[in-house]
Amino acid sequence: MAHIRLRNVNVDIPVYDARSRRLISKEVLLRRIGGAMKVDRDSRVVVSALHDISLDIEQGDRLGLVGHNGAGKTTLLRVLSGIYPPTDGTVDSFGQVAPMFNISLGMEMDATGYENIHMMGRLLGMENDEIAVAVPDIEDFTELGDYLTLPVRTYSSGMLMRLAFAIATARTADIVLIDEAMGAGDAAFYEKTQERLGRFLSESSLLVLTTHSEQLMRKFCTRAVLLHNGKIEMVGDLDEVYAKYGELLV
Amino acid sequence: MQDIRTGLRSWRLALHWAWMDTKLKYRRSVIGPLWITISVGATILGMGVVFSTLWGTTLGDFLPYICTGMITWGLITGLINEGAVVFINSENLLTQINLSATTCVLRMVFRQFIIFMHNILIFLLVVLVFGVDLSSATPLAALGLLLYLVTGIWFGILFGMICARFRDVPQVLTNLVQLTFFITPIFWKPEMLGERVFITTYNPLFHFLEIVRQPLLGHYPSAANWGVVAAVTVLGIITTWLFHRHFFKRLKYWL
Repeated sequence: MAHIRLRNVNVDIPVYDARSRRLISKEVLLRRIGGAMKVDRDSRVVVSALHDISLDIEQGDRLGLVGHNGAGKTTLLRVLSGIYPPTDGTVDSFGQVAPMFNISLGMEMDATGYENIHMMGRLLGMENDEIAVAVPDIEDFTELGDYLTLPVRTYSSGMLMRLAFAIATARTADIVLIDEAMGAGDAAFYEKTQERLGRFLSESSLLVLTTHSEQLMRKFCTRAVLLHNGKIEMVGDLDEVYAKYGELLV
Repeated sequence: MQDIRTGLRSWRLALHWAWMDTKLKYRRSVIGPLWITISVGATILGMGVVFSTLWGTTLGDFLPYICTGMITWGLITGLINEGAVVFINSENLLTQINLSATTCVLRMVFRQFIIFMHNILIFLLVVLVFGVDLSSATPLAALGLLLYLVTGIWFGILFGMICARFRDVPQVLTNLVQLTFFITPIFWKPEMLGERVFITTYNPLFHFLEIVRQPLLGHYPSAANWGVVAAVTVLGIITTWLFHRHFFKRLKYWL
């Protein structure tokens, strides 16, 4: 059964800007930036991006991350995906993870559509035979036709996103993590892709999504976590969380 | 260690990727990656003419020497300079998709070897035109290249991490490599140094150079060459292992 369980996870991101070390003393920096900055054990200046996060995400969960910019949503997603190892605490994760943070990342502009399908497919961990199966499906969905034999440099941005999206959703995963609009732009993109996305998500056993669009959140999620300054403010159903989120904004 | 295991197992992906990189770089040019061969070949020919005259030898005598020296040196410096920035250049990939950092290192190392394979053509041409006494020592070049492969991997992991944390180190390395080009016998011979031959003896890159260049020229590398390379390799792997164990967790936060 797919799951991700976090116990007392902290993430401190060190600040290595050479200039801030030399010109501004730590005290001044701390006073200016405030709560999120601190000095760690080795007397480095760090930004405390996540603080004491304990969270169980189990099979079947459709979890939304709510919070304003800088609340720690993206960092938490990266910890959930295993990309960021936490500074303290443990991450117990089971199941194949598909992080969809920036789905066009890894695309080569001078390579053809087909070459990109192969390259991206392999980057996503697909074997050659899996890619061979996925190709007709991607051709179908993208409706790019002969364009797939041309360098993707010649594509419009909409065509490019369709291709990236088709590749990212070519193979189902146990755990799907989606950040904002995956770099896909806006809700209009979801309109066009919602059928495929819906199918992709229904085949996954666990979803964590962050988006500023409440509409999308309500469409895909059943439960939400409210993050505030790197801490979990509350976990609950969407109505409760959005009510509390509204209070925080005031 | 998990990352290194995953990375090494993904060598096919890395090789495919390195090949794509090379192909794409020259996609819109007519003769493509052969430009690598041509540009290095022209440098070798130019330097060969000048230095064979300066040293008072014939072109046929000197060209095989400088040719093997230059293409081997090209591989060594490629591995050093690219190894230093391997993680810095892959920042986006490493922080946004589940990709083993070691895969990035393999991709970089394979890319350098693909370039080297293009340059080997120059050597073959020199062999055909000027004749080189290939011998039973020549296949040893493969062993030398295998050691380069191993070195390229640990060096990339170790210095990729160090350079991600301390952004001045890549600059220092690039400058050092540039300086070393002149104090390593590539376009001159060690014996020309007379009593100052220690300049080469204490230069580890000289010993690395020799284990590939000498076999290509049909000679056996010296025991000292193998010894230094073996010592550096063992020491390097141990250092990388220790460093990786302690600091790998922080790599993503250094990017």
